[in-house]
Amino acid sequence: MQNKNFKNRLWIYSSLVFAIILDTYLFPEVVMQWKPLLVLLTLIYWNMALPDKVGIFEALLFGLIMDLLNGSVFGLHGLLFVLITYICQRFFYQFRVSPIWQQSVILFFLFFVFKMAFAFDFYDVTLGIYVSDSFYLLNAFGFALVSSIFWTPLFYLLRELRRRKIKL
Amino acid sequence: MLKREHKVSNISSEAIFAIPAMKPSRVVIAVIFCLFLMLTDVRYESGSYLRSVSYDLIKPLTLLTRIPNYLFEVSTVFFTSRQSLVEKVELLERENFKLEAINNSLDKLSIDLRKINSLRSSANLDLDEELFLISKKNFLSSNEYQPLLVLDVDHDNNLTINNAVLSEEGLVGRVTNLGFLSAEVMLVQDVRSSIPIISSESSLHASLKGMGLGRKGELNFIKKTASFREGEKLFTSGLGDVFPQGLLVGEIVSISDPVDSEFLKIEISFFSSPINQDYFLIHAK
Repeated sequence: MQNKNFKNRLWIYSSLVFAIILDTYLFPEVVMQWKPLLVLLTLIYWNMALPDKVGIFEALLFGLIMDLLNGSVFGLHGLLFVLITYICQRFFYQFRVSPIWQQSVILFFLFFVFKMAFAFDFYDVTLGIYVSDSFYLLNAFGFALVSSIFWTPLFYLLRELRRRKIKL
Repeated sequence: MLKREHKVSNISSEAIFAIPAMKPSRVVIAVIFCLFLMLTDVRYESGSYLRSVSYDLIKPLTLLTRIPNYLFEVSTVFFTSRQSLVEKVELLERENFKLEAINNSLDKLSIDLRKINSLRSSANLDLDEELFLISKKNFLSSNEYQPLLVLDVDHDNNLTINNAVLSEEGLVGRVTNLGFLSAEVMLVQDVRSSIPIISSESSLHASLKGMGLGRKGELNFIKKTASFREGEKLFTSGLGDVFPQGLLVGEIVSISDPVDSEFLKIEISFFSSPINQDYFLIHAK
């Protein structure tokens, strides 16, 4: 049982680490702003599919790793990851049974809010950068859209991985 | 079977509805913990210290991010080498193939050397008196407002905080944190960055502020009587003793006079972009 549990966690953690690697991979400037946050999508999937195996600890851990890699305010990714995964898990009875396109729409709004949280000037150093900045809004929209589009293939990919490799 | 695993989960991999969701109390604790981390980071910059230490720890992770590039390069070399081999087998078989492989690696070396030479020649400074270190990019974060560049450095160098970082296109930023094998660089595009500059033609001093990656910078608090001109190049003025004097930073792309402000709005296009650069020059004072 312990061995099986360890293997399950290994697969889950490997997928999350792989998602982080893809997230930190350098793309051209335009793509960088719009590319989906795969680690959060992966986290949401595992959280929804196996809520007893992936929870707050994983959300917090991978959020803090993202903070270190991204150079954002330390704890911000962690906070948002915890809140988003909590929302997804809290309402996963409704979320899980809804069609995939509806899930994508819900994720679109979640990711939009997620991106907007990074527009706040925590260090109080900027003048003239607001949440209503049109360039940032466009980027946030693009980011949320691409992330929600990526949800479908990622969902089926991870479901396949879960069915093949995760033994309950 | 673990206590937390519900019986239903063992019947079917799909039936997991009986598993309880996250405990709200744990979520609250996690949220408070994150808020505490954020507050200490904003107030005492604790995140910077943690980052400088952790870069060394997460270096294997950043090395893994290079795997796709490495695989692409390996596969390219493999296929070209194979193609070459077919041609050379008719002529000189394996010896020529070896030479081809050596040539390939020499080409790569010469490209790197050309980049480094170009980097050195771009520094408008006296090389005898100043100490320059060439450093390779480790990774660049996609954080829009506070982009973060991490460079590989040796632990036994003379680097200090606030050392200027240059590329062949001009000033890139300054070192803000030093780890054992890495240096964190605050880019000129960073919203926290403020650089004292002097304009090339009008010789006016100003403070250049970053507005985020992929955005134009702005000159702060410029009176409406100031005679800046579009297309003027901007260099570091050396005031404040952080950046050396005379480093190219960018050029003025637009000057507007907003009616609701007592200052001019002057937008600057930065010359340097760390995205397409592999090597950087660190100016150690």
